[in-house]
Parts: sequence; structure tokens; C-alpha cells
Amino acid sequence: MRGPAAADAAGLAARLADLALLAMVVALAGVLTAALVMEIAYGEKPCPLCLLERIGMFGICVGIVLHLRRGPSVRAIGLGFASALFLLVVSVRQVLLDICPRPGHSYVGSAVLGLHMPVWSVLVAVAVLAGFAGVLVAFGEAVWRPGPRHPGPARAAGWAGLYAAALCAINLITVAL
Amino acid sequence: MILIFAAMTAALAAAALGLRRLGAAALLAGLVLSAGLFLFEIHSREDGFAMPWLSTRGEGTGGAAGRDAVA
Repeated sequence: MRGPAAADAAGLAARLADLALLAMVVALAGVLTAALVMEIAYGEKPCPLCLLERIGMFGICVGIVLHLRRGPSVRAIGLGFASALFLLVVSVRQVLLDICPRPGHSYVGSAVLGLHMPVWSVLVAVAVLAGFAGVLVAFGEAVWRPGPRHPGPARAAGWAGLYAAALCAINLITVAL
Repeated sequence: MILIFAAMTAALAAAALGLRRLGAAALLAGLVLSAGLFLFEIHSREDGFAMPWLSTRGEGTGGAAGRDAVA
């Protein structure tokens, strides 16, 4: 396949890759919103490691939004990967802290669908890493394809980034108080 | 923790506004500070970074403890 047809196919792949990455940001924003609602509405105060897990999720959002907002960037996706790795390390360590019942140690907060927050964080980290891998395997070089892209995902990423920034600012206030 | 969340808020706002260098720099700063705080939080004076409650070198497992007992 050569010529305009190949360009169309590459453009479609790039757009689908952008939409998949945008879906990851939206899903993470949903998780972070739920965590904040549980903290403020249900009084489930997070521990320091829980807060660091939120930082990892915000970091993934930054990496993806940087990639979508100003054209493709390998470095921005790398920063998202690094944040996902940080999230995985922190959440696995927190799971290991409380995996054996002993005095003074138990999982923080109530269980959601039978799993506690640190366990959910491990699943989120694995899902994000699997998502990055899936996007790279499915769309290949189209992820970093230079040239003009559809403005929809970039615009939506801007709004999603602002929403995540607002969530992070609320977290900042709750930490400071 | 306040500094870390401030850095992340700045990184997200910069990313949303398309300021790539500022966003990346703030994210990197936030991640480095977070890594430092994480190591501080998990370090214990008695155990260091070890997790003795997860010890798998019990009796009869053939691990180091078992070898010591035989010796």
C-alpha cells in the first residue's frame, strides 16, 4: 500500500492511538476522582503511600497529556512509563506491608469489590503498563508519527489535563490542611 | 508532600496549556521528590528496607536458616 491510501491508514492509526491514550487519561481521572470522593465524603484519610500512589497516577496523566497536546513525543510517553513504574513499586510495597496480618498493621480504608486500595493501585499500574504496551504493539510507529494530527484528541487532552490539575490542587489543599 | 503535590499541579497545568519543557521539568522534580519520600517512608530503624514479616527462610525450607541449624 503506497501513496494517499497509505497516508490515510497511517493517519487513522495515529488518531486511534491518540484516542486510546486519551481514554487512559480519562480512566485515571475517574480513579483519582473516586479516591478524592472517598476521602472527602466518606472520611477515608489516605496514608503517605496512598498519596504517593496518587502522585504516580497524576504523573502518568502528565506524560500522556504532554504527548497529545503538543504533538507526539517519545520523551513524554517515557515520563508516563516512569510514573507507571513508580506507581507499581509503591503499591506493591504497600501491599507487602500489610499482606501478613500483625498487630498495628492492616489495609487502610474499606474494601471496594473485595479489594483494598493498595491492591487496586497494583491493578491500575499493571493496566496502565499493559495499555502502553497495547498501544505500541497495535499502532507501532503511528504513535510518534510526525505531521498534522486530528485536533480533537489534543483539545480533549487539554481539558482532561486541566481537570486533573484541579484534582491535584484539591489534593494539595487537603494535604496542607 | 505539599511540595510534591505543588510540583504535580504545576506539571499538569503546564501540560494542559502545552508548555512541554515546564511540564516535563515539574514532573521530573515531582517524581524525584516522591522517590525520596517513598524511601524515607519505608525505611525502618530496626529493619532498614527489609520486610522480616515476609521471611521465607524458616525451618525445613532448605534456606540459610536451615543450613545454619545443620552446621
